[in-house]
Amino acid sequence: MASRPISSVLWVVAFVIAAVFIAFILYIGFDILAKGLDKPSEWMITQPFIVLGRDGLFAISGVLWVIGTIIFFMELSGRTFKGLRIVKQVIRWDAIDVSITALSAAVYGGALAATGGIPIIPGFTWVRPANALAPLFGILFGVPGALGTSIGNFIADALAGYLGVGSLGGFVGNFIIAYVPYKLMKDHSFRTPRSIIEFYIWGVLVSSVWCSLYISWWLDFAEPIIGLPKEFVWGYFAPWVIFNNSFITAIVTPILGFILYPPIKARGLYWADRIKILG
Amino acid sequence: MVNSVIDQYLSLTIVGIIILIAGIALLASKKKGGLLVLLLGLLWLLTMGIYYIFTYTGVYETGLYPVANVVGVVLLIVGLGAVLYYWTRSGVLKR
Repeated sequence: MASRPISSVLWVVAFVIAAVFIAFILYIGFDILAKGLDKPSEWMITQPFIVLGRDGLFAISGVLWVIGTIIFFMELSGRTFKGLRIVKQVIRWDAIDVSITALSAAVYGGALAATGGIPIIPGFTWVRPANALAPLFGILFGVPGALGTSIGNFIADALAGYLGVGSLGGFVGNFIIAYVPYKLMKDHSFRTPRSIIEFYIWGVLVSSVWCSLYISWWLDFAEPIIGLPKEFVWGYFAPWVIFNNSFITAIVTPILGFILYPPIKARGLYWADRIKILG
Repeated sequence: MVNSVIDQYLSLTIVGIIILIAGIALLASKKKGGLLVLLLGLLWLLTMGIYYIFTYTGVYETGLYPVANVVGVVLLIVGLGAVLYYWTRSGVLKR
């Protein structure tokens, strides 16, 4: 009898958390626009980067880079985390799994390129609706979807003129965006308060920050080859990627997830129906 | 600088070729994951192909958009269409 009031309270909590996340991200966006796109050092989102400094950021991001890279190769080699243990997992990598990867790559890469340079919101060419797809593919399809996201971003880099050694960072960085919510959310349905709260923590906040720091560390480390100044990497690129990823993801992904989860699950394409985690 | 730029893309192309060859070898020996590695190699080299075509036709210099938008739409439609066609044929969408 008491479950209904508790459930209602949880829904209120979930909506408040979602609203706070979206409001905060919109506030960051207004702050960027008010101070000017050409003045990243004044943006609110850049201030933690200034406080930590390049050396501090390089050290912290280096740890995240090593962990992210290990996870990337570990997942592809058939091992995964179960709690704090590393266990075997069985991904069939049959025609269905490979077609899921191909679908994710084509849709993510194609959508990123198709909307590039177009002001989806009048005056704002940098708004990239396709960013919403990266965590979604991980949440729905697991490792095959996350790998498709990596490949899609790699293709989009070529179509946007950014392809280079730096794209290797983007390759794994985009895997992380999809992987973090896939692995750390316990409920992927977007139909419970828990699912919504978990999404905003892991799918919006943690994945965006981790992806940004992963790619930024690589751009800093490979500076002699890539040629991007470290000040640009940590003072503009890193905060901008966090904002740009989380902006669309926070607003669009839960809606897409709510719509797509039932048909994907019904057709046996949801990752938990295809990936077997042992141990 | 010019040399490092050339090496960068040459290196990425070589990586793509190695992945493709590994995929073919895995597939030929009927090892698990062969199809995936082959797909990865093909899409990697498709990416390098786009880069080289855009470079030699001057698309990067003369204006990337709307050429990149059109290629993106084509990729989206062809990729989505091919996979949905396969899923329809294999009965995945009839479940």
